[in-house]
Amino acid sequence: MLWIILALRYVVIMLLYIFFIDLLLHLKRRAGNKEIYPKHSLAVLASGCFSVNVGRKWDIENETVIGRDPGCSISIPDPYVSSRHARLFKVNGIYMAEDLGSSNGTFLNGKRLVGPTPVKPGDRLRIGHVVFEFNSSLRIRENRGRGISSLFLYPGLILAAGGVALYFNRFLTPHHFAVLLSVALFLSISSLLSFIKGRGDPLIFLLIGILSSLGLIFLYRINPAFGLRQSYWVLTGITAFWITRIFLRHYERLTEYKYLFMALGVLFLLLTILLGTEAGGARSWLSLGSFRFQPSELVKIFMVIFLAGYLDENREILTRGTRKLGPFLVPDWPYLGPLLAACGLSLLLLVFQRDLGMAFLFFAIFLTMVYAVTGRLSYLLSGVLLFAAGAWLMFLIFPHVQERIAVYLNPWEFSDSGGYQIIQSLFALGGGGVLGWGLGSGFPELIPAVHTDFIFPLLGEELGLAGTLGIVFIYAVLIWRGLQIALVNPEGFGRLLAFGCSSLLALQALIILGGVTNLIPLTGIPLPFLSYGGSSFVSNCFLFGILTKISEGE
Amino acid sequence: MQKSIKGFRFFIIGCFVLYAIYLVYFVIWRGPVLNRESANPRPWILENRIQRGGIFARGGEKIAESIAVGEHFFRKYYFGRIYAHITGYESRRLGKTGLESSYDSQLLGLKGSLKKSLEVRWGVKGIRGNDLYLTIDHQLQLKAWDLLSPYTGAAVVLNPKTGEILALVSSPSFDPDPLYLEKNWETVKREPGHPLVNRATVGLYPPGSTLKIVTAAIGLKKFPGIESYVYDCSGEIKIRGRILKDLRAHGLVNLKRALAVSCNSYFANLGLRVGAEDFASGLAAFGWGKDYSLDVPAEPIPFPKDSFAKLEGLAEAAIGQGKIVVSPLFMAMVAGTIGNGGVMMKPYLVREIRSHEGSVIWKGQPQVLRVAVSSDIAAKVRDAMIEVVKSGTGVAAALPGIEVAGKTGSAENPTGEPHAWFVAFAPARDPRVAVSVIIEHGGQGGRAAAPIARELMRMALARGWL
Repeated sequence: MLWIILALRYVVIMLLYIFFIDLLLHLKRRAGNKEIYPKHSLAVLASGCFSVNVGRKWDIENETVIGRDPGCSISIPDPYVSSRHARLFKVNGIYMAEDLGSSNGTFLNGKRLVGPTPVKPGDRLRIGHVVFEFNSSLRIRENRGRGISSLFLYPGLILAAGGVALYFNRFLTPHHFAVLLSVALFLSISSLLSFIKGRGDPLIFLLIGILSSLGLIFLYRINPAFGLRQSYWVLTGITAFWITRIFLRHYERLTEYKYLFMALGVLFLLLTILLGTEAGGARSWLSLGSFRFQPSELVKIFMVIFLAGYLDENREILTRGTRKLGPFLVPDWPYLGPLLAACGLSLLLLVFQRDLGMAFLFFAIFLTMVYAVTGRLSYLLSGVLLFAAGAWLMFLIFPHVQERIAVYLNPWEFSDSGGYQIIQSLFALGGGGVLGWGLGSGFPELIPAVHTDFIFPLLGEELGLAGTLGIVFIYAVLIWRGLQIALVNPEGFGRLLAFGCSSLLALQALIILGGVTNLIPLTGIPLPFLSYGGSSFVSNCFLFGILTKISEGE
Repeated sequence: MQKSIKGFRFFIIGCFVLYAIYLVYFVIWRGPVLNRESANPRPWILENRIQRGGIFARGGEKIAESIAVGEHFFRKYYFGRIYAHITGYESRRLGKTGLESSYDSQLLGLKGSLKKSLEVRWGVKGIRGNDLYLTIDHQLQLKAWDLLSPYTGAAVVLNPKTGEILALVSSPSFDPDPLYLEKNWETVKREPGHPLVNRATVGLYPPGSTLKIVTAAIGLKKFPGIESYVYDCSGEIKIRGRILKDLRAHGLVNLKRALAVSCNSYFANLGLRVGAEDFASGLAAFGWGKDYSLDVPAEPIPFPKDSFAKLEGLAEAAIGQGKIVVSPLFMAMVAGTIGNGGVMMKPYLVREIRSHEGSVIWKGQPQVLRVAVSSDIAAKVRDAMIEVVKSGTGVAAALPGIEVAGKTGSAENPTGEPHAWFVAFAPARDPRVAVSVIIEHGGQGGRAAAPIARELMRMALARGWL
């Protein structure tokens, strides 16, 4: 009997690997299931109209009306355009253009349209002062047959199994156990819904669910009080995820509020500096009564939305550059200015909060997104140089940065002071071996901040290499799927937003994973979906809600 | 944008793959090393969940034990310094020494038991280690301590037929109590007598005249029949300007007589005649320069072969001076070898390992270490050694009714009075006990060391079990 209860400590890792096998089988089944379909769009080639930028692109499907009226699918506020000017429509798979009795006429390749005329890819359509090009391309769509996969069971199953193991090994009271089981049920229902409802990628939620389950199990294991509070955060976060998916009908419209988001972000950071409370050396918390949250976690979403919107809008100019600076072409100040100002300001504010990990994350996400849009290595390199200069400055200004670097270079020298945490983390990771010592058999009490930034070493100690590799694998799959969503998205903003969400997760995970193994200097940020912390969990849920929304496509 | 996103994806997934590879490397290669780091409290916490096994003398007398106080265990040593060099100590801060170190996994009961290791990890209560039962005879050990503690020195008593160590003391000694030791570590470490050093096994001294039993054996092997030849001792021998003195001119002596009176001239001459090469191979046959392992740390005996190249170096070596050094334990083994017909047994301290429930898990077996000389030669040396105690320098070791074979030694040394040596075995024709005693700066071996050896042999032979 004793041995049965003790063997329960290995159930979580066993289930995790059964999940992986099931997941791979699922992906293999789906792989062959693809569909090729044509996709048509109108792109602005030249524009004499203020609010219609060159390069702007509209996807067209079935019938598309162009006119001055805001209700039109393509609305052009040009006085030379009639309120309902022309339309494109599909007959037997062929698109036809037709003038709708406009005053100034519609021109196809320079010829005024009389009656419905077929349009071919490459044809130019002039309406008022705007010239469109009709484009057509073939796209591959993964056909996600709606069938329910048994995969949806796993998040809840793993959490419940962990709960049983903890309960019978006397880590939990019946009350904690009951809450845990309810969360497990909630997770399973949620992932079932993500499989049967909507068209988004169901794996995103599934993987988040697995990570949250593992995180919850270990938080209950470290201290049931942490687990209990995190349970409520998980419920809140998942609710936030669904709210995002249900109420954010057109994620494209987020771009319209990009400046608002940025302003809110800067305001939040400012408020934190003015009214914030300090914890762990960083002044990065806002308290509202007994409720505390970390505004920078929310600001990172705003930042990604702002960057996606702004970069998409000014893509051409930023890519090509208009002014010569030495051998380089750089964009003019009116385009570069707001970008640098927004990012520089947030960085500065974060530095004032002494939240350097977050500052590093912001800078990295800024750089990757600029690189993604422009594809210019010179931006990336100058960014890295700028980072090096900034880091050197931090090193000179902040004694705690100097200490961090000293500890990073030789933690053994500081084994009972600044290096204690990292050394204990290494001991835990190394001591776990391949299979770990089983859930509940490690020494979380030896690692400070084990429930937040340092949860990974504990996972390593108790689930072993099998567990840590599994977690790395889940992150990699999640990021791969996210970037895939970005790649298949036809539209600039959506693509950038999806890219931003996934790379934010990737960078966060890498910064803290590298930190706890002393591969890079330690900067304390939570491990997404695993670490204790409501702000981080809920804001990551928002991000992935948006990502799933983008994956729904049109 | 497609291209740069794909580039980024390649980069970031690459980062995760490299990270995974690093994790594998870290856990497989670095993990085991980190587990042994002194800054790692985990092994210690785990060990402290186990009630470490006890250490018992041959007759079951309790020497060391772990006592539960609340959640923790405390190591208690019942005879403190008397056994300190055998048991060693066990402390979180100072580490482990002696049997506590060499039999650590046995005392914890973890050796070869995955089940137990897992139970310890999982916090199963009431896990107990295995008990060590030593070859040490408790009464003899107490006696040895009584006799030795007034001096600086060491004594070893063993059974020449089996290699079992019956008593082993080194004086001065220390209190192995972990709490005391942790508190007074700096003072204990700096004490002038170096109490932490186990003189019996790692102390290296010139053997002085006790080495003559080895020289005699080597001579007998090279020149069969040499025992009937006589040598005229003039009181000194001159080798290339170096003069080796005797206490007096012994006149005409044969091998037996020369050993009995410990004639330096005779043995220096014998060494020279044997020659450097055969002398060196003779020493090697006894185990000089070869490793031998013991349950507690023991120093291998150095082999200063090169010093025999010079004639004066060879002559000095033949009478146990010069560069040649031995440990008291090794000298007891050499004496025992003569008594045991030339066969050297492997010395050992742990007779049995028993589980907490009492079942015997492991039993120490007598093992032949090497055959040093033939039994004929051993018998001739033995006869000469009997003469030492009967009528020579070692009369102080004589026991009524029991024939004792022994050899005295007074080892010249640069720091003061000679070290007093005595090695012996008894009963001479069927020895059950061999001893080696050294008193640092004790002067004449026959006077200072021989009586101690006698008492040890008397007591050992009086114990019923031998």
